[in-house]
Amino acid sequence: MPAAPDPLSFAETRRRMRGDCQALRQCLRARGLPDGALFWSPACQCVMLYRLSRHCHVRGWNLRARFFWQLNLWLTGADISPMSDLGEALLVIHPVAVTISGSAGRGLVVEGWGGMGGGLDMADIGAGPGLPVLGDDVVLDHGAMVLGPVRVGHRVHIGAGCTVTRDIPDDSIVEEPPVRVRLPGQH
Amino acid sequence: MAGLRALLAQDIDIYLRFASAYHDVPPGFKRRLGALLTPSLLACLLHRCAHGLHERGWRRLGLLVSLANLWLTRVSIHPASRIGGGLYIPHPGSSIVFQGHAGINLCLYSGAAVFAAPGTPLHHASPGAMPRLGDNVSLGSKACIRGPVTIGSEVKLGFNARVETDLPDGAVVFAARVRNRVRPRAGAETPGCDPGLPALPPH
Repeated sequence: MPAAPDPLSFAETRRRMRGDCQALRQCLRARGLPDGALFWSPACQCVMLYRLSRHCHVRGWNLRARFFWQLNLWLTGADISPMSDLGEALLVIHPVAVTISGSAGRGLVVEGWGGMGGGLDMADIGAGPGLPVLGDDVVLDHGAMVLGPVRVGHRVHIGAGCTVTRDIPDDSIVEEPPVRVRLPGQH
Repeated sequence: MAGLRALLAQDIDIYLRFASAYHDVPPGFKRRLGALLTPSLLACLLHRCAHGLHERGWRRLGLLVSLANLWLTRVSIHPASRIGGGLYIPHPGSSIVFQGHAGINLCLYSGAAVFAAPGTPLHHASPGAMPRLGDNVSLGSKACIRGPVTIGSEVKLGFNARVETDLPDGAVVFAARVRNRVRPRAGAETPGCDPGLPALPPH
């Protein structure tokens, strides 16, 4: 059994950063889009700045952690707390108005406008008081939110605009009801 | 350059038409110029500049101006997006994302989003696969259009409405209604009324 990676080492942070870039490249290639100049993309900037702030936070360099968090908020509009532990291959597609605090496994995809954070209950289930814990390969679609101390299983897809405040089992899809379209002449 | 000025003049007109509804004063030259300092019109100005640079082939510079738009006003619009005159963004701080093409008088309320496809970061979308919106389209708060769809003119999307299909002219889209639960507080006699407050005067 391989030894658990040392969370304090920069090598581990760099490994996660590489995984994040690779996930973004794969996402772009799968859609036939150019995968160059990732440095200019807010999607990449936001994850890299989060990794740096997380690294500083774990090392106990709180001022530096706060600096990178603040820089992330200014440059990309994403508020990803350095206290949240997110696995590698993290993908934030549109970072504006994304708020993430809690913990998640590898392969988390956040489409934009939403994220996860505290609800009304302050119970601690492993991510901090009142914060959610997500499994591997979870997708938060545009506007989806996970609020409060809830557990979301592996490979869960939380659909656009859904707000989750209860535990979700593995391999499930959360969807909101379809929209109603009124055509001209109808009432 | 003349085209950019004409588009921007239409943006200012629309903005001041809404603004003067509250002030009842016809806008003068200084007021029109001063309006450019508001975040709503700053976002329009920066997008017009970014689009102009993109069209002239200065892609990287256009991208930089659109990033400046994101840093300053929290509005991220793909520089290749063709948007007609009269763009109105009343609350730009609430992070609007736009990858698409639109006709005149587009109105984007807080958190409105138009995406090329799921999983496409802002500056990586290809202009051919973006949604096309007609004239006088209005997106309500948190409304979302996604995928390479065609949306007709005079279409309105309500709060939280999400669309991934084509829509004809004049369609109105509502999100499924979510009923909020109202229950009385402990010790209160009627729901929603705080017994400690005096009764409201009659109309």
